[in-house]
Order: sequence, then C-alpha cells, then structure tokens
Amino acid sequence: MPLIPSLWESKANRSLEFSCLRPALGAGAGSCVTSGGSRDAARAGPPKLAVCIAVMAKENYPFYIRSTPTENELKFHYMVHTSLDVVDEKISAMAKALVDQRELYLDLLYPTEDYKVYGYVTNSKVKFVMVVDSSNTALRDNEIRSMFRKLHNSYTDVMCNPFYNPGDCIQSRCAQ
Amino acid sequence: MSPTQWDLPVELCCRPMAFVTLTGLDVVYNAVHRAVWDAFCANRRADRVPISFKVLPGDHEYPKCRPKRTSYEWYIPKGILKTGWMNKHLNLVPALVVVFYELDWDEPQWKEKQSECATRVEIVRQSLQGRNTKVAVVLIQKKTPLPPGEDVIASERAAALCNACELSGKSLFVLPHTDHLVGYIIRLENAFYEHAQTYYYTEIRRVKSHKEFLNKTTHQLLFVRHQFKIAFFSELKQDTQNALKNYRTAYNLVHELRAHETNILEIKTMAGFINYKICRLCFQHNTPLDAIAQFRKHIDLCKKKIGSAELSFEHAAWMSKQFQAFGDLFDEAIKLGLTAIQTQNPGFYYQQAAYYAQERKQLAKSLCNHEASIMYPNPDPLETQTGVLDFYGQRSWRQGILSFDLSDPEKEKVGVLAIQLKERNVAHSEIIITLLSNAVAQFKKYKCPRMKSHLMVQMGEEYYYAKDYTKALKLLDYVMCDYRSEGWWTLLTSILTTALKCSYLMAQLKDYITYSLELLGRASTLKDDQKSRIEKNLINVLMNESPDPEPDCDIFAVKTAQKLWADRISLAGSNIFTIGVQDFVPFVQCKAKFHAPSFHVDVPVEFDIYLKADCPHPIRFSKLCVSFNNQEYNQFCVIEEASKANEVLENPTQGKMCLVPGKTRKLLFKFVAKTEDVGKKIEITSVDLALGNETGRCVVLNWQGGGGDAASSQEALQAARSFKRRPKLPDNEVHWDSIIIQASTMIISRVPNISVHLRHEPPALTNEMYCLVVTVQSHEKTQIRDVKLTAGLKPGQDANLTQKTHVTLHGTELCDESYPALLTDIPVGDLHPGEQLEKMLYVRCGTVGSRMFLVYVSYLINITAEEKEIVCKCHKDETVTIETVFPFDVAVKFVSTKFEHLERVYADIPFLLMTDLLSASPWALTVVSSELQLAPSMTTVDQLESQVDNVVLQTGESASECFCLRCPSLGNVEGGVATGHYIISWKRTSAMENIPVIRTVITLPHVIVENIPLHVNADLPSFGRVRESLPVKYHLQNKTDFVQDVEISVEPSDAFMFSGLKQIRLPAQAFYSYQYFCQATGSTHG
Repeated sequence: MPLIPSLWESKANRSLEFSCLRPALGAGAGSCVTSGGSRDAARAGPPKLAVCIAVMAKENYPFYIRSTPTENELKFHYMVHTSLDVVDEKISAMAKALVDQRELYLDLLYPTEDYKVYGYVTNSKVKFVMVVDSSNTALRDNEIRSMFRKLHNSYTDVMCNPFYNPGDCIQSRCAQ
Repeated sequence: MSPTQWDLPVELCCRPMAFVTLTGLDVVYNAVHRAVWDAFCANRRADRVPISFKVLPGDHEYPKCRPKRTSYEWYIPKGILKTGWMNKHLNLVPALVVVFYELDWDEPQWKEKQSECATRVEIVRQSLQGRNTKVAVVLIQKKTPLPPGEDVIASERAAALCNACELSGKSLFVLPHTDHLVGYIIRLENAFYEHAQTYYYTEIRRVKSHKEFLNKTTHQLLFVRHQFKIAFFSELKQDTQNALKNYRTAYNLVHELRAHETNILEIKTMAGFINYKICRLCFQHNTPLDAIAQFRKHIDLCKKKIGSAELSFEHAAWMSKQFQAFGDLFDEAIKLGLTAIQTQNPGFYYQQAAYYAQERKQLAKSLCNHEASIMYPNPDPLETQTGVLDFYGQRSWRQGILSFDLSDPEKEKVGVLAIQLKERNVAHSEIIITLLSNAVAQFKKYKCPRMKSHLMVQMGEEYYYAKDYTKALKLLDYVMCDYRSEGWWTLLTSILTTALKCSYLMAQLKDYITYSLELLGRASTLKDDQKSRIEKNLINVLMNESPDPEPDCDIFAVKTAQKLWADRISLAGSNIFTIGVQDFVPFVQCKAKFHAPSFHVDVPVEFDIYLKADCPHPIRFSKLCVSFNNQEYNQFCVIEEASKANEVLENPTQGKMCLVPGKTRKLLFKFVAKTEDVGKKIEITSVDLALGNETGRCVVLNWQGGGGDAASSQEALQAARSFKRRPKLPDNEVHWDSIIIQASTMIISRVPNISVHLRHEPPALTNEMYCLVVTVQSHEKTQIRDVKLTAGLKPGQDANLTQKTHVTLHGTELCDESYPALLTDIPVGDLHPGEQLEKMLYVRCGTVGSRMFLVYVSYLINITAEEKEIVCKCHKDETVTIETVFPFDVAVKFVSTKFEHLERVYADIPFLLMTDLLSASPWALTVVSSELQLAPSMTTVDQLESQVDNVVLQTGESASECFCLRCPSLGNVEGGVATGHYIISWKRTSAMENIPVIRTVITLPHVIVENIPLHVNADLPSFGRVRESLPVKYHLQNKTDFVQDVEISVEPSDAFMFSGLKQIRLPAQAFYSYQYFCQATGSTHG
C-alpha cells in the first residue's frame, strides 16, 4: 500500500520549480530558466531577482510563498497579504473591462520604503505577487512581466501535473 | 531637550502673514477704539487680506536692529538659522506700524493736536530705528468726510499734517467713525497690505544685496540662511511661487554643505524645515505629485545621514517625524479637497513614521541600556543659559562651534550620555501606537482592509510591549478572524502566539485556554515541540495548576503573572468554561452524521460522532454530550468517562474518550424516537465535548449543529474538489475528509403490515349507489388496535366533484346532498393476526367523469424497540380511479298513429310518443318500471301503463315504449308545447335486493302543435275477404269555424271493384263530422 503513493509524492514534489528567486543565469534579464538543474547556481548568491514570490488561490489563501531572506519571513507574509488589498481593487476595476482586453499583469501594486510589490492575476483569479528590492534598478517593467509569465507557466505545469491535488499547498524542491 | 524636540516649530508650520501693529488704540476703555479693533479682528475669512494684527502701545520697544555690516570678510557664521528668526518676523518686527489718532479737520485746537500727532509718529520711528518698517497715520474722525476736493480746509490741513509727521500722502488715512465702519476698515487694511508688501519686497532686496559679499569657503551657511530668509519673506509677501522657488534653491544649498558628524543634525533639521515648506507650498499650489516627489527626494538624500552611531535613535526619530509631518500635510490637503487613492494616501506615511518610531525604540533599547547606577550628569549639559538653543539643530554644549574636531571629548561624552538617558524615558510605544492608529484610520478610508488588519496587529504587539495587555488582546482578537477566514495560517499563528502571551501575563483563563486550543490545532504552524509545550501547559491549567511562562516574556511581567495564576488557583467556583468553536480552529474536530436521512419510528435512530485531535499527544476527554432540537433525546446521547484529574494524559490509548492524534474516533449513539416526532425533523443543535473535570477546571468545546469550525467549510470544499486517491484504511477506520456532516434526520412512521384490497365493478353509473368493498387483512404478528378507515373522494381534486360525490356506509337508502364526499376515521375495531374484515362503501356520483377515491387505513400496534415498548401508529392507503358513465341513453320520437314520423303534431289529432331506452352500461340493468308524467297540456288517449316493467337489458339492448297522446288546440305557442317527463326506475341486475331503485327522470322534448282546417280519418277494416265487400269509411271533419266546400274523389286501385260515389261535392259545416261510405270489392293477388 505505501509503496505507490510514496512514488507519487516524489513526483509531485518535483512539480514546481520557481526560478524567479534564483539569480539570473548569464547576461540579460529574462534568463530565468525553468529547469531543475540549476540548484547549485541558486546558492551562488546575489544579485537576486526577487526577494519574495507568492502564489495565492482564488480565495486568497496562499498556495506557495517563499522569501529569500528567510530570517524575516513574517514581514514578507504580511507584505504579500496586504498587497491583496490592491489586487482586489485592481481586479474589481478590471472586471468592467472587456474580456479580451484583460491584462493579467497588474503592474506595481505599491511601493514601500525598501521594496516594490508587483502583482499578476490569472484568468481563474489565481494571484501571483512578487516583492522586489527597491534598490534593484536592474528590473524594469519588461523583466518583471517576463518573470511573471514564467511563473505563470510554472504554475500551469503544476496544475497539469496529474499528481497534484488542486487546492493543496504547492511543494517546490527549491523551497526545501 | 523636551520629548517634543522633534516636533516642527509652530512658526514653521503656520502660514506666514504680513505683520502689522496698531498703536494709539485704547481697546480697554475707549468704545470707539474697541469697535475699530473688533472690525479688524472679527470675520477674518479667506476673502480678507492675510495680515496678522497686533495692538501695541505707541512707545512699544521693537527688537533692536543690529548695525549694518559693511564687510563680510571677517565674519564667520555660527549656524544656519537662528531659532528666534522666524518668530521675530512673524510676531515681533512689523511691516507697518499704524498710528491711530483722533482728529477732525475742523478741530479748533489744530496746531496742538497736529504737533501731538507728529510726536507720536516720531516716538514710533525712534523705536524702529534702522528698520525699513513703514509708518502710517489713521485719523479717527467723528464726521463723515466730504468728497475729495470739496473740503478745502481738509486738504490744506492734511498736507500740513503730512509735512509735520514727515509722511507721504499715501500713508495718511482718515477713518470716519460712522455706520460703515467695516467697509472703511476693509479699505484701510487693503492699503496696509500694500504697504506691508512693499516692506517685504525691500527686505528681500536687502537680503539679496548681501549675497555679493559672500564667498563659498567661509560663508556656506549664509547661502542657506539668506536663501531661506528670501523665501520666508516671499511667503510673508504672499508670493508663494517665488517662495517655493527660493526654498528649492535653499534645499539644494543645504545639501551642498559639508556634512560631518558634528553638524549633521543641524543640516538635517534645516533640510527637514525647508522640505516641509516646499511640500506645504506644493500642496497649496495643488501639485501633490511635486510634493510627493520632493518628499521622496528628501528621504532618499537623508536616509543614510545617520550621524553619530551612539545617537542613531535620533536619526530614526527625525525620520519618523519627517514621515509624520508629510502625512499630516497630505491629510490636511485632502481635507481641503485633494483626492487620494488606495496606493497613495497619508496612511503609508504614517505607517512609515511608525516603522521609524519602532526602529527608534529598538535603537534606544540597545543604546540606552545603562546601569541604573549611572546618574544623569550634573551640571546638565543640555541646559543653556537662555533655556533655548541659538541655532536650530545644534548641540547645547557646543553651540556655535563649527570645527569638525571635538575640542572637548569629555564634554561630548557627557552630552551624549545625557541625551541617551533622556531617550530612555521617552514613551516610545505611545508614539508608535499613535502613528499606527493614524495609519489605520487612513487605510480604513482607502479600502485597504488587510493593511488595516496588519497595522492593528502591530498596534496590538506594541501594546504588548507597552505591557497594556488588555488593549493588546482586544486588538489582536479583533483582527484574528480576518486572517483565519482567508487561511493565512502563518500569520494567524504569529498573532495567536502574542495573544497567548498576553493572556498568560494577565492570567486570563478563558482566553489562555482558547488560544492554546487553536495553537494546538491544525491551523497552527507551530513546530511540534512548541505544541507539546502548549499542550502541557493546557493540561496543567485544567488540573488547576499554573502553566509555565511563555517564552520571551518580560521577567518582571512573568513574576506578576505567576502571582496572578497562583491567586486564580485559590479561587473556587466558575471553573467551567464553555467555548464556542465556530469562530476558531481548535485542535479537536468534530463531525456528526446520522446513518440515514430518515428513520422509521420503530427502529432506533443511529448516528456517529467522529472526533479527531490534531495535538501532538493523545488526550482524554471527560464527557461528550449531544443536544437535539427535541431536548428529550439529550439524555440518551451522553458519554461520560470518569477519570481522575491527573489521568488526562495517562493510559492514553484506552477508553472511548481518549483521542490519538491524527486518528479518527467514531462514537456510535442510538436512541428510540418518540412517536410524537413522527413526521418531524430531529436535528443535532450542538455537540459539547468536555476536557478536564469539575474538580479541576473544565473546558467545554461547543460545536453548533453537526460540528465544523472556522476552517472546516473551506476544507470540505477543497476535499470535494480533490481527486486525490485516499490510501486504504482498515475496515473500522475512515478518512476524515470523506465524512460528510449530516446533522438532521426525519422520523417517519412505521411500515404498515396489513393489506388493503378494493373490490368493485367499474364503471360506476350515474346516480347509482356504487358499491366498493374494502377488505383489510392484518399480517402483523400481534393484535392491532383502533383500526380506522377513511374513505371517499381523494381531497385535492376539482371542487365541483366534491359537490357531486357522496359517500355512505349504508346502501339501503339513497344518499342526497347532505352526505359528505369523504368519510373520515370510521372505527372498525381491532384485528387479530391474520384476521380480515370487509367494509362496504357506497358512492353516489352525480356527474360522469373519472374520480380518484382514497381508502386509508390506520391502526395502532405495540412494538418493542431497544427493550422499550412503544405504541406505533401505522397506516396504509390505497387509491383507485373510478370512471362514471350514463347507464343508458333515452331517445324519444313523435309519430302519427300510422307510425309516420312527425315533425309536428296536429291539434286534437292523436299521435304516438315513442321512447327508446338503450343500455350503455357494461353490466346488465333491470328496468324496474317506467312512468310517463304528462304535462297539463297533454292528454292521454288510452292508459299510460308501463310496458317495460322488470325488463333486463344487456349491454346494447334497448327497450321501447309507445304512448298515444293528444294535444288540444292551444293556439300558436312559441317553441312548442311541453310534453312532460319520462321517469325510469332502474338498478343493476347484480345489485342486492335491498339496494334502492334509482329513478332517472328524462324531460321529454317540446312539440310544435299545429291547427289544421280539415281532418280526414279513414276507417278501414283490418282485413277483407276476396269477393266480399269491404266497407271503407272516411271521416271528414271540418276543424274551422266556417262552412267549407269539399270535393271528394275516390280513385280505387285496380285490385278492387268499387261501388258508391266516386266524386262528390258537399258543403262541410264548421266543426261537423261527415261520414262517407263507399264499398270496394276486389281480389288480391299476392
């Protein structure tokens, strides 16, 4: 009995590789690679792309949340949670727009003294939030956009995984 | 140094207005002067010119003007801006001094008065020596002045007065004290305003003129000072555009200053002042984005200018103040009509101010933790001779010293110590909480509920640090549900941890238990070791002992708390706490499930209570009780497990009420429903689970309905969506997620064990007493009592049917309208097992069509369920649809005596009425008799005896009768003449003897009666013999009142020989009968 499920578990764990937290490989901005093979590079240190990324369900509970300075995780949790105020507001404003004109990228949600918080919402109202260091000037709008798109693709991959149970928190090998 | 040293000075924050002093007014004793002064002061709204007035005596000493510096070459400034400068120009040095003097143009003692006035002006001039302040004279006059030019004396004397006072004509005013005082005053103050503006203009020029003497090496400070002064004077001049421009220049200059640890505070202070002015003016100019941009720039430039590390809390305090001041400015602008948005509102600035205030607190905590033995230095290095600093932002112990080297390190050390010791007494938490609550108010306004909650958490935590645990708990408790409902468990856990500390430190039993319950639960993200600790504490509390202190609590607070807990123990009573779980996520989950959506009353109701604990160790509960909407059942659903107080954690795996973490425990309950509850819903209203016992403390967890807490509905939804295959469990175990709460069930009556048969011969015939035989047979094992029968038309059909359907038990008499359509509760006695009874019902249907009939049999039976005798009421019903048809059709026709069809009958001439009765019934009918009831207009020719008595008609057979009638002449009747009724008495041939005969009345058709003038009646023998004469007699009857000529001709057939008149003509008398004879002889062949 326990043999087969354990095999499944291991597969499920491999499902999500959120690479946005990892350093950019090589030159150029949009170089986040969605592959499992660059974990060593992940430990190589700065420059970081984002200090915190979060995926939230339609009902606003977190699927996945991870921040790089792990010592003050709670601060980022609060930051992501409060940013949902703006996400909600933007979504309700967006609902009035036509369906095909809908833009998934929500732009800068709000700046704090030290961080910038960006948002992105899928058509099924799954929210992505990314916190970027304010001093990180290398990230322009385009880079943020492409990071979100990659994140969205990764998320879609997770959802396509038959071993993933919808509604569960997402496990990522990066997070372990 | 006061705690408010970081507050911006009042003179900086106010709106600068031209300063004008009024002299020569005696506002205390002189009513006219008072009125003038009031007119200046009252109603200073936005439409009046911005001047601040002050009444001063004529000999008032104004601040002395320092002698003009001819060269700046050897001058070294000691600071940027003197602390008194702004106040001096706002409130001390006037732009204009007005001398009020009572003097009319026709004053008899003109000369004396003129010179007195000149003296007063001179005195004012004396005290303003060296200043550019303007002087003006206002003559208060009793008379209304004549239009200019008409009063020759006035213009002469005015010129003379100007001369005497050395005034220009523009500075002399006349104020007639008449009705229009306010109007004159407004004109006066407009004139004053112009003078004031000229004054400030010259001041700006004066300051600008210094610039050329300055050099960049030694006079850097002066550049800032002068620029600031120009801007400030521009503001006094109400030239805000130039003021803004100059402040901006000043701001850039201040950052060009060489900064060092010794002067960084002064630079920051000035930068803060100038920034404040710029932002204020930007908001005033309705360019909020400029204000925000300036502020951002300011913060970016100053953020890193921390200065002395020992006093780094000062930097945080300053930063906090910058944000707070900007927030205030922003908020003020909003009050004046600016619209803010969700992502850009004052709340963010207050929030940031609060963060810096927190940082200040942290830094102060680490930098100011001096031993208690260290005394505050004496003499106080923070004291100055005047009590205030000379320059903004300097250190009191080294004022005016510009050198970057510390000349006296010892003095510096003492100064720093003094500041640190002072900082220790600052109520940091109070500052932080005020800022946070400001921010909360803003975020509430701009639709940021989560931000608001977050800030409230911080407020709560700050109250916790400030040891105001009651307020802390109140705030934390308020926001917890927001995080709970959105499922942010990490955040909830963090809040709960703080709340637990608060409740521990206050020894609030109920709160302590509630938070512990949730922190042990599945919503908590605490590590297992933490959970174990909390569980242990919880058990301790339940055993009436003190819990261990929470980690990271203040040692002194813990001491107090331990005492409080000790006191709590000695207190007896009120040791049972009931906690409703629907608002939080406790560590035990509960689900109630009835085995079926309905139960028969004769079988016991069964349901399961599922319990699951999420705490790290097995735990033993003392009692479980279930409450129902009918409280009678509560007593049957209680599990109590007597255990000693200290056994809560012992023998963990034994006993029903001991829950092993992660394992689902199923508890089965059974009870017999009351017979009164048949047809009702039984609902579980609550489930109570008790932990601990009465000897110690006891917590009762109360689930409303069939279980479920704050998180379970979301979990249920998720489980429903999930397609995860659950691993197989042993037979007696179930997956928690797969249990669906079913908190109510229906009680339905017992299944009847009798048979009900209906015997009858459909269809029913109209109006007959239709017989329905009901057979009831008991298949029960015991005697059944009180069998009752309800039979008749099923309710709920067409209302007309009820009127036309009647039911009776007695078939011997016909039922009429008074009989009901449904007979209810006919007692039929008891039945032994296997016994059967028959009941006959008679139904009379007045109309054709189909009807539904209901036969409902109810009875009582004694049943033993769960060793309990109960009386069950059972019932069984049968319905049957019965068609009603006409039993027969009756056709009626009129024929002549020769059986010829008649369209109409002739008066007085006999005719035949033929009835034809065709049976339509599928069953044989017996026509008992028939009767013809004639209308009065009809007479019968012979007897009206029935010809069809006791005729039996099979289906399709018919029975006919024939009656000979005559109708006397009635004249012309519209629509014919009524004939009468034909009444048939009949019954089913199969019906029993005592069944009454049914009389069916058929109304005969009307017939048209016609009068005829001549009636011919042939009287022929019924037969003739060959070669014998056959007498033929014709009767001719004249029916009219007149004599008629009749011609008769006879045309015999060839078969007869004829004798007699063949042709005759005769008159026929009225109403007279003739007989005409003729004889015919012949033979018939074939």
